[in-house]
Amino acid sequence: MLLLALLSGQNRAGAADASPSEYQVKAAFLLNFAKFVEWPAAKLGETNSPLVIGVIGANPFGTLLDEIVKGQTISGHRLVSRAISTAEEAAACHIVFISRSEKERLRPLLDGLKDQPVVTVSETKGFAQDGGMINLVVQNNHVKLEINPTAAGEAGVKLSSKLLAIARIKPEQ
Amino acid sequence: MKTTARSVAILLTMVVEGISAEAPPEASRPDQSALASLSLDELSSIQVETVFGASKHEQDASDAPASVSIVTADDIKKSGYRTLTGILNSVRGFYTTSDRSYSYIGVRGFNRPGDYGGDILIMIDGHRLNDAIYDQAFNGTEFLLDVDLIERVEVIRGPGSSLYGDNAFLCIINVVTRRGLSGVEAAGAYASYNTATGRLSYGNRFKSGVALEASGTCFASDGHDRLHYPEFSRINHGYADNIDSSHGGSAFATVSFRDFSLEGGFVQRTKTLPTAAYGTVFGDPRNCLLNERAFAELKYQHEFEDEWRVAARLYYDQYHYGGNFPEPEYAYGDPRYPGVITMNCDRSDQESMGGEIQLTKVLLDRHRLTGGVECRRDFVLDQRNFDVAPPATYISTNMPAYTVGCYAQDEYSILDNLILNAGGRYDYFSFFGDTLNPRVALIYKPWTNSVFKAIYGQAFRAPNAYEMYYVAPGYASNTQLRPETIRSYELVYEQTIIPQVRWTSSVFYNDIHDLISFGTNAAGTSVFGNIDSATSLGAEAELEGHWGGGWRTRASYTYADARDASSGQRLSNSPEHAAKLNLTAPLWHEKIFLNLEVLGLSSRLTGSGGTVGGYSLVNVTLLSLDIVKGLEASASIYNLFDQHYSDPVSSDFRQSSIAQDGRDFRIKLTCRF
Repeated sequence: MLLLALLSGQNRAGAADASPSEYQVKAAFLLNFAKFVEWPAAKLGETNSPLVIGVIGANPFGTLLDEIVKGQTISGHRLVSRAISTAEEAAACHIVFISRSEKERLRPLLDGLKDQPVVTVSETKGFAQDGGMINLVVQNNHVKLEINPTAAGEAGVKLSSKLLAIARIKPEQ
Repeated sequence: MKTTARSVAILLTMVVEGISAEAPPEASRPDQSALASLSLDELSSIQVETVFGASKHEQDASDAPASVSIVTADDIKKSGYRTLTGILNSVRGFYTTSDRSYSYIGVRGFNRPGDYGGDILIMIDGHRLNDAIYDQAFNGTEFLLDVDLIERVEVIRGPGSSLYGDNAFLCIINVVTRRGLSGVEAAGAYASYNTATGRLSYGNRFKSGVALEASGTCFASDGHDRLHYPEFSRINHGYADNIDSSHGGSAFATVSFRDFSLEGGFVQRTKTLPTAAYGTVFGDPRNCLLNERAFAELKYQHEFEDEWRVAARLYYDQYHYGGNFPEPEYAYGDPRYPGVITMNCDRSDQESMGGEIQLTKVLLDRHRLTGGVECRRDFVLDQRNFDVAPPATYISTNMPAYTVGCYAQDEYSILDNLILNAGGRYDYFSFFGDTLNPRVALIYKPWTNSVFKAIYGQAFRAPNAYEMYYVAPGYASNTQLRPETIRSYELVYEQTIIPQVRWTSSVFYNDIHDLISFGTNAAGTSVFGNIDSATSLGAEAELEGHWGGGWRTRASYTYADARDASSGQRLSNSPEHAAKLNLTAPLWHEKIFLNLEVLGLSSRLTGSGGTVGGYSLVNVTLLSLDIVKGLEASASIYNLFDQHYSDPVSSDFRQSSIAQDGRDFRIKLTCRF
């Protein structure tokens, strides 16, 4: 897919290159969630223990997620991405990306993770209203965020105001 | 507004860098780490690659029921494309030709001389540009938009009448205009043949939420001071001196507020004709064409909570064409040529208004339904042909018409990786009656990175006012004309080989009937009739690579066997082979880029049974971005090796082919304030 050449951040109209793919941008967002979320100290564990992004269900990223987290560290914790399949494995992650393929078991998955300090992310319609924390939607060619802050609060993870500032807030229904 | 956003971006960048990532140099590819260090704001403002035109809504190009190519503003800048013609000439399977009156677009071996481009639908932001008299798709300097105003060009191959109706025969070209200009921008260019272009643009987003952008461009060119046509060697040794000039201007503006947007534009171009086409007097500088096109469109779009989307638009179109043709008393063959010269004039005008309403709804999470109704009234469709002195009027008709169409499409996600896209459109034209055109496509992604598409579609091109009602001495009208029809079959395979490299290939077959051509009736008069049919069979392949730092490569090859169905002969102006190569290299820190483009075509038949040779052209462009803040400069050389080549032309010309330009250059400067 087409890639983005790094910009100086200024003149988008002048310097913009061809667009990256949807999943490249979503993978970059997952990396940013790791940077802009605070977990309880117990969850983060000792320095050098990995910060895990789990992908449950059919993986739409291919190798994109692995590549973007490679070599990244957050506060001394090495970032890793992993393919997972069970609810227990999900509870052991810091961020879980629930694929569209898991629509059937979304409810039991979210219920099981309700009180766990795990950031739940998906790209399914209505995810935030159903109790997920962050939903990635594509609108007008841009990847946007829908956030359910209550779900985050109940789980004990703190989403930075910087994330909330660029997101649409979706209360639970 | 813009300073605050910039401060936030800088702040976020600092924060992100503070939390710093340690990337071992061999682990991360430059491109991925580039994305990794973008701020949240920057990530939110990245445009992901989607295309609007294929299904009348935004979708990923790989989900579109067609083989799609996209040329971006960045491509246009780096490759130094001057017109939409140059842009399309770089696209896989396309080739453009010119007769020094207009430029014409050929797709997959199909570019019949004498056809004004009715088989290709050209749109700006979804607004049809083909006029209702000649169905012409302007793409040269007479195109309505300055190419600097283009955000991207969506090239959607295949029949599109199932959504767009008339003209969406061989392909649809949707030119998406750029938004978001803030401040003033000025550009100027100087090129060979004393060609000068200037543009001034202004954009602003007001506190109230209203966004405004306006732009004006003007250009003038002396053209070739001498062109040689041996077919007219008895007049001035066949030299046409100083009869290739052109000048004109265009303007374009958009205003948007919330769900509403109003956009409109205007272009006018005058060109003198050196070729003595239409049997005119060779060497007479009064031989000229004037083209004007204008439109305004008001759009409303709203996305409701439960996935209903409504889009409505109201539009107005205006078109004017004028031709001044000095007619000789005697034909060229007669030694008395030209004799007494009479100025003959063509004047055509169109004025139309129309509207469209479209609804989209997602049903059961698996069906994306789109439906719409469009109607257009052409209340002026005026054609006149007259002599100035002694005054004589040969044709003066005004045949208003109207057309109504309705369409529906379902994008059915049978499985998460299998989409069935099916739809059709019914059109009624007051000129000839009705037509129904379906399209079906299966899009299958068996594993990530691979896409298979199987597409079948029917399309039509309605007979226009010129073909039906133009009457002049020696020309008769034909009110029984039917639309041209095409059945198109295509198989597409796309593969992302590594994240940086994508492969696209396709096999196609087009079955075309009822082509409208000039023939002679029993009385010996020229008349249009649905007399021809053709087939086009071929295959294409393309490899595209994007590497970190701004490196980009693209190579494509198209094989097309286009034949007349009754005689089995190759069509004229149809190359069997077309190959293209485009290479961009960053020379210095992504501020200076070098682009190389190589375009090749194999030989083509002319209308009179001769051939024009194959050729390859090399274009080079050097672009510098923001070396001095806010300044963009580029220098281009087109046809670097001064290759001599010609394009076949229609029977309106005494020449069977017209020689094209040799080496020429352009220097361009753009400033942003």
